Formats: sequence, C-alpha cells, structure tokens
Amino acid sequence: MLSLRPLYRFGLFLIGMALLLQTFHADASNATTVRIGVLAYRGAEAVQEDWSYVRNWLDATIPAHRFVLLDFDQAGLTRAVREQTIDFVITNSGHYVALENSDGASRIATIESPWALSPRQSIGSAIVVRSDAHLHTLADLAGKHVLAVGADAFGGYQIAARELLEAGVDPEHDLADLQFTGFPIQNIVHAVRAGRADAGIVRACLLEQMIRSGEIGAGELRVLAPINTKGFRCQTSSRLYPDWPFVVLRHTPAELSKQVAIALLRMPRTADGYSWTVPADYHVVDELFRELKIGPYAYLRQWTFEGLLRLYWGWLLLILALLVAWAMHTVRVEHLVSLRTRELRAAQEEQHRMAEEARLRQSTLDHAARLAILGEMASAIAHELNQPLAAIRNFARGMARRITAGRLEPAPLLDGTGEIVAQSERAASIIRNIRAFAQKRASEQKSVDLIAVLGEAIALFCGTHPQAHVSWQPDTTQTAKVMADPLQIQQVMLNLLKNALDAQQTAGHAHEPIEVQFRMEASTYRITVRDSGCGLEPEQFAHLFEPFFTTKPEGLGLGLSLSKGIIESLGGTLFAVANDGNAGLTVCFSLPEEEPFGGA
Amino acid sequence: MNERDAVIFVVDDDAAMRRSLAYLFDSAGWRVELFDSAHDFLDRYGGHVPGCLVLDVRMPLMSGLELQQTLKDHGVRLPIIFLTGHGDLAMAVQAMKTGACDFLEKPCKDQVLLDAVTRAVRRNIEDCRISTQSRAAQTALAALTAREREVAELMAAGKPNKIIARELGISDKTVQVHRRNTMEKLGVHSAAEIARLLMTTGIEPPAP
Repeated sequence: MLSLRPLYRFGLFLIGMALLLQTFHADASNATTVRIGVLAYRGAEAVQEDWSYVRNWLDATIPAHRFVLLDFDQAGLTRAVREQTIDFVITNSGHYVALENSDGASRIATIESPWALSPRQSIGSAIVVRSDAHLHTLADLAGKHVLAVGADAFGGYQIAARELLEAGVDPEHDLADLQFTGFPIQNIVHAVRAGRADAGIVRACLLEQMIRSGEIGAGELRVLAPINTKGFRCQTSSRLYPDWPFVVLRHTPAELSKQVAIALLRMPRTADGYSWTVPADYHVVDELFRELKIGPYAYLRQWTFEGLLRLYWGWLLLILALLVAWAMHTVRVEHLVSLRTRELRAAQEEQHRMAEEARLRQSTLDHAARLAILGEMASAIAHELNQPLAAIRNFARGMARRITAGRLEPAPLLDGTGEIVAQSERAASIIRNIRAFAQKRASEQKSVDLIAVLGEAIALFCGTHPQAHVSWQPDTTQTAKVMADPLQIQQVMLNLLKNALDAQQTAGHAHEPIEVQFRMEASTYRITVRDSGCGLEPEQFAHLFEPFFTTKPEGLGLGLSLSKGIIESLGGTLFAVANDGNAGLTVCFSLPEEEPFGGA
Repeated sequence: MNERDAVIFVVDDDAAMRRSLAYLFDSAGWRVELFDSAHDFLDRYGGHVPGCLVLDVRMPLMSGLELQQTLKDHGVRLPIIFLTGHGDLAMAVQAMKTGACDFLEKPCKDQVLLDAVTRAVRRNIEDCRISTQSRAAQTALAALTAREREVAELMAAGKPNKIIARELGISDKTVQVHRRNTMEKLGVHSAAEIARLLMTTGIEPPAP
C-alpha cells in the first residue's frame, strides 16, 4: 500500500500538469474552465479513465465551458469544496450527505450503474475473505484483523460498519485490528488474498470487477455473509444505498448547474452501461450516519457515556477513584463528627445530670436544714398550737356549762362558737405556715427585697417565741435587692435568731433584746445578729461551722453549717465574732447586691 | 365575804386564751378580770379579795414566776394557779415552793381548772377570814397596857394567878384586876380564848 503512494503522488503531479496545460489551453480559446472534483476511490489514474466520458460529454454539450476532472481523496475533496477551488463534485453517497450537511451541497443527478436496477439501491459493502477462511457470519469477525479504506470511506467502510454494529460487532472496538489503507481500494483485496488480513471491506462489485479484469482468480476470495438483492448483480455483505450523485456547490452558478444537469440527464448510456438519472433519495444514508454517529451526527458520539468511557477511561478511573476517596473521606469525617457529637452530647448529659444531682442534693440539704430548724423550734411550735387548742377547749366547755345550767341566752353562746371558729383558723394557719416551710421544694432564686424578707423572718420568729425581744429598726426607705430564694434567707435568719435566743436563755436573760442590724457596704448588704447570751468558748469557735457540732442538748448541729452553705451559695459570707467586752456573740452575714439589669 | 364576791384574775399575753378563760369562768358563774401582762396586773390590781390569780408561766418581759415573787414580796396573798404549756417540773417545783396554789398543764380539763379555782378562792376566803381575826386580835391586844399584855400572855400559857403574881412580882389582887381588865378589853371569857387569840396574831405563848 505504502509502496503505491509515490506512484499516486506522481499521478497527481501529472494530472496537475495536465490541468495546468488545459487551463492555458482553455484561456487560449476563451472558454471558462469548470472544475469537477472527483473522489478517486480507485486511484488517480482511474478517475480520468472512469470519468472521461462524462467530461467529454459535458465539453461537447456545453461548449462555452471547458470541464476538467480533478481527483481527490475524500479529505482533499472536502477541503477543495470549502476552498471553492472546484465547481462540481462527483463523490460517493456518504460523502455527499456529509457535504450536504456541512457545506450546503446539493445533488442534480444520480448515476445509474449497470449492475443495479435502481440507482436508489446500487451501493453496498462487500466484506471479502479468503474462500478457505472459517468465517461465515458478520459476528465471526470479532477479534479478527480487518482492513478497510478509511473511516470516512462510504462503501469501503461505513456501510459495512453499520451492518457489523447491528450484528453485535463494534468495528471500532471488537476487532483485533482495524486498519485503514486508503486508496486504491484494490490493495485491500490483494492484502486479504495474501493473508495479511482476515477480511477486507470494499465497495460492492469491486471483487466482481477485479475477477472480470483478471486481477484475481475467481475462487480465491468470497464475500462474507452475502445478501442477494433482486436486481443487483453483485454480492454484498450489506443492504444497498443510493449510487453516486453529481453534486453542485453553493457557489456554483445556477445557470451552469442547470446546463450541466440537463446535459447529464441527456447523456447516453456508456458502453459499460452507466448513465445519469434524476437524483435519488439519500435519506437512508442519513440514517446510516445517525446510527454510526459519524458525519453530521458525530456530535452524538462525543456525548455518549460509552464513548466518553472509551476515550477517557483513565481519567474517569482517576475521577472515580477520587470520588471514592472523597466519599470515604466524607463518610469517615461524618463518622468522626457523629462520634464526637455523641461524646459531646454524652458529656453534656453527664454534666447536666450531675448539676441536677447537685441541685437535688442541695434541695435535700435545704430541706433537711429547714426540718432541723423546725425540730429545734418544735417546742415553740407546740406551744403556739396549744394556745388555740386550749382556747377552743375552754370556749366549748364554757358553752356546755351554760347549756347545762339552762343559761341559753344566744349572744354569749354565739360568741363562743365565733371564738371557736377563729381559734381553729388560727391553728390551721400555723400548721399551714409550718408545712409551707417544711415542704420539700426546689429552691427558686429571684429578685427579692432583703429588708422585707428579713422583716418577715423576724415576725415569724417573734410570733413563735413570745419571750424573745428582737430589736430591728430597718431603714424602710431603702431598697435592698438580692438574687436569692426568700425561704432560704428566712431559714438562715430564723436559725440565727433561734441560736441567739437559746444562748440568752442559757445565760438566763431571754428577754434581753437581740439586735439585728442592716447596712450597705459597697454593693454588699451586711446583716448582723447580736445576742447577749452565753457566748462561745475558744475551742467551740473552731468547730462552730462543722456539721453536727452543737452546744445545745436538743440541737442537731446542722443549723449554722447549713446557713453558711446557703449564704455562700448566694455569693455571700457568714462568720461569727465574740462581742467586745460584753458577753455574747455576733453572727454576721453578707449578700451581694443584685446586679442591676437594663430597666431597673 | 363569800365565793359570790370572788374575782378570778386572769393574766395571759395571749388574747384568745384570756377570752376563753374568761368565757369558761363566766360560764361557771365566776366574776373575771383580764390582764395582758404581769405589769398590767400590778398596775391595776387594787387588792380586791376574795379571788385567785390564773397566771400563764410564759410571758414576755415578766414571767408568771417573777410576778409570783413580786406579789409575795409585797405581801399580796392572792392564791395563784399556774397554767403552762411546758409541764416543766423544775418550774412547777419552784412555783409550788413560792406558794403556788396549783400548777396545771395547758390544755387542762375544764373541771380540773374550775375545781382548782374553787379551791383557791375558798382558801383565799379562809385566809382572809383568818387574817381579819388576826387584825381584830392585834387591835385588841394593842389596847392592853404593857402589864396587861404580860398577864394575858401568862394566862394564855395556862398559868394560875398565884404563879403570875410571883413571876411578875405583884400581888394576887393586882393580878386579879389586870386579868379582869384584860379579858374585858379582849372580849374573851377564858384563858383558853386568850391563847387562841394570841395564836391568831402569830404570837407563841412563852414556854412554861
């Protein structure tokens, strides 16, 4: 094949020279030169040989013009069309359809071949194999070495490619080797015969032509999976397509086109049996192109997944690997994040649980402290409850006596019932207060008026301890806001007052005033409870705030330690000092002023 | 002087308690006066007898025990019934030692309280009666001359005229005159009566 190329070029050179000479000749006779580009499928020499009859006929019928035949391979012909160096084109159906789509070419006539009854069915592919080859169907070609003219050769490749594709053999991938040899097409037949390839794709009828011309022996080669079409005298491996058209181009003058068309249709049949007829329908060619995704449908090929996969499988594999890596990374990150989130949540829950536990413990302690204070106040409470009960009893017995004695004036009896009701309500109210104080409840901190809360505690204490005398002269114009649970503050205050009173009773002067003082010191409120009681020994001072330390026979020893805990939990301090000079103790506690918020 | 004239003095700092006691005593037919503190009682008590004092042990400023002591110091011999919510034994012992009439735990049965009140009032009446006699006897004794007083005391000791005359170093006759004058002044008819009268005033007859 390669050995033929210099000859082919030499041929071109000769044609070029001839053309040059003719052009000069034409110029000389004042005739315009009309260039006809011909697809040289059998080689440059064959063009002049095959188409001279047509050129001569045109020269004869249209004397105003001189027609020349220029041979091209398919790419060269297409280039010539684009460069407008030719006026007409004779080419195969496939190439024509491509030109029609890309360059606006149109057909004015279709050739009538002697081997076909209809110009619509006169072109096909024959896949030639050696007669002795073990190849019988198109599918058998898978994995074989196949020759063809070129990827853009119509009969020499594309028509057969469609059939192969439909038979399940993708010529681009399923063959061991697909080799394009270019023109002349006969080389393929020779190569197959010589055993350099398993099969060759050629234009239908070529084999018959070569046998007729004696280039090869009749029994050496055969057509693979031949289809016999009625009225078609050659064997094909494919369906049939329209024959070659005579093509005009966009820039071809209309008048010239018309003249040529008329001339062609008038042209008598050649000795070989060729003539021109009205243009055939090239739609089937279009279908072929669509199916093969070539020519005007090449774009289809660009975007199929399969095509992309074939072209870029390496890149795709890399992208896939990256995707997989990214996905794995994402999954891992997600996993780690969820793990960390879970850990964090667990930690938060643990923290929350511990805070809740601490709160519960604190509230239990608070509760215990209140119960402890109540326990220490028990006798005072009993006395307080006894009063209304004793009064009720007296009234009731008094009424009974009046009734027994027949003294039934209603007024004193009604007085008695009224008193009984009042006293039972008094008892109920005492019980209610104690219950409220003893009730187990969550501590709730809010903004409270410290002076009011202290006043309430002192009133409650004096109410249950009539012998106590508490000196308390607060500055009622002052407001002292703290963030605290009012019940806790009352608890502390009751505890300190109780201690003070007990100490004074021990010292034998219960009625001495217990001095409660309140003052403000640089955003801190300071409350002192000063008694004139028995005071404390130095070693008792050391243990004063220890739980279960007590100097009282009935005491639990929880009051002060719990009070200190409460005050410190509110951000304050609680401590005790011995009175200067005088006997007794002063207990002092401080609470921070509530931080003012916006509106206050 | 009898129970109809008696007044029950109630001292209690608890108003309801005071009113209920008043109601109960009134129902039993007693006259009642109420005081809200020991000081209130000391201010307003005019020495009325007969009667009794119903006193709450636990009161601010001056307790029941302190009031008891104050009254005793001033020679007011009103019987005192203590009411206490405590049932404190030590306190009860001290109260009784100081001369309390009764010591009741609140709430006590009304009958127990009323019985105690009745007892106290009767005792007060009796005390008053005795002290009236004593005052009469003292007045009578005060009318005697020194010699007559000596003669009376010796008569109370059951000594015969002769002995009296010898001890006083006077004649039997003089003794007889003094004896007649003494019995006349004291309004008695026998030596035994003189002895009883002297006992009423708290004067022990000299040992024989």
